[in-house]
Amino acid sequence: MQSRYWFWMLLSAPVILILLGWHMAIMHLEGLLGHMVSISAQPLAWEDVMARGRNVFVVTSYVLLLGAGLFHGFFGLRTILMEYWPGKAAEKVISRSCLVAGIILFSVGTYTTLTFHFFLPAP
Amino acid sequence: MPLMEFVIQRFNRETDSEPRWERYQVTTHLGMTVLEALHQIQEQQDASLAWRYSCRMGICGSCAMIINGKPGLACNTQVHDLNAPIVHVQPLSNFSVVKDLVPDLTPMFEKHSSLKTYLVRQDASKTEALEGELAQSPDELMRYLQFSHCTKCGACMAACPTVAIDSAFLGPMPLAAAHRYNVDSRDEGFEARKQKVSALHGAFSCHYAAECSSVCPKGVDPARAIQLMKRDLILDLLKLRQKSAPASLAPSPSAAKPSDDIPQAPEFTVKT
Repeated sequence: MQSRYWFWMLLSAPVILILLGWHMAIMHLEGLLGHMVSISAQPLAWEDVMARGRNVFVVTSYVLLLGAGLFHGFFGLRTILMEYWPGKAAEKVISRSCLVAGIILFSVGTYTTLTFHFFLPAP
Repeated sequence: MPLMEFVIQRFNRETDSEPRWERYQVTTHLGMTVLEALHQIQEQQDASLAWRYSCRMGICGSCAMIINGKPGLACNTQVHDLNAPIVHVQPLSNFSVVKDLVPDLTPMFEKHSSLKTYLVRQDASKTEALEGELAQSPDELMRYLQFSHCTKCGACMAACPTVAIDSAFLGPMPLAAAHRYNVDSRDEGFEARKQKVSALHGAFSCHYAAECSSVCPKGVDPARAIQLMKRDLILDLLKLRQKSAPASLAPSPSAAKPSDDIPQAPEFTVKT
């Protein structure tokens, strides 16, 4: 079973690298990249945030980044905690706590992202 | 003959509650090993000093201990190579201590044997009957040769930061030994070992600090073995691991026809 988790963790790493890099480029490097490609000069402006929220590709990538990041992070946290507290009982508590926390955070994050896409009015 | 100070950790689990340090002055000479120094201390200063040793030549791995903070073999470490006026000697870390410099290696060997670190064959009854030798090419030999040099001294286990935290972690020696058999063309035990090495506290718990490889007195690279094992486990998960038929019995030397250009051996000079 660990092989399966490990495989998904390996797979999530390049997903995070690409999508987080893309996110960082758009949100924080507009001054640098704006000279080379067409990037908004005001990424935090209401119109720009709404425009991204309505874009299916952007919303999908945000949900994917959220899932990959949460899985990668919580799998790493679980590994560290299990080293300090080995044993069957601790294993169950740690695994289930990480799973529940991950599902809650993924639900909240996905709801927030989809809200932009489906529920907020067009500017 | 320069004098050197040896500071040795002493502990007797039957009488002491915690370890203590004791100092000894040792007259050293060029080429003197830490093992020789320990013998000199025992013979001339303190007969109660205990440590484990056997071959005195870096083969058996019995005398592994922490020398100036680094795991190594006492018989393989010359005191002048340490370049320090004081030599600190401790038992291997990450093990409980039986007495002085003697660690209790039982947990390591229990993990080692739990991984079926021997040739596993489906036709065991046939191969154990010694009907012949299992054929193996030089390339197949090279796949596991360096890992087979392990002497089970425990230096890698003492250096491993994961073993220090997670006592259930299988550790570099047992995992490297399991990989050594997994990649042996004569073996069919991958499936039998997979359950254990891919479980929690198995190969995937290795953080690749690679301290095990840096301290191994035989030049084995357990960290590499574990990373290769991780790769094999993932490839097996994806059904991409290359599987080949296990080595079959080679024809016995008597059944083979010698090449024509090999000259005949001379007659025995002593007739019986």
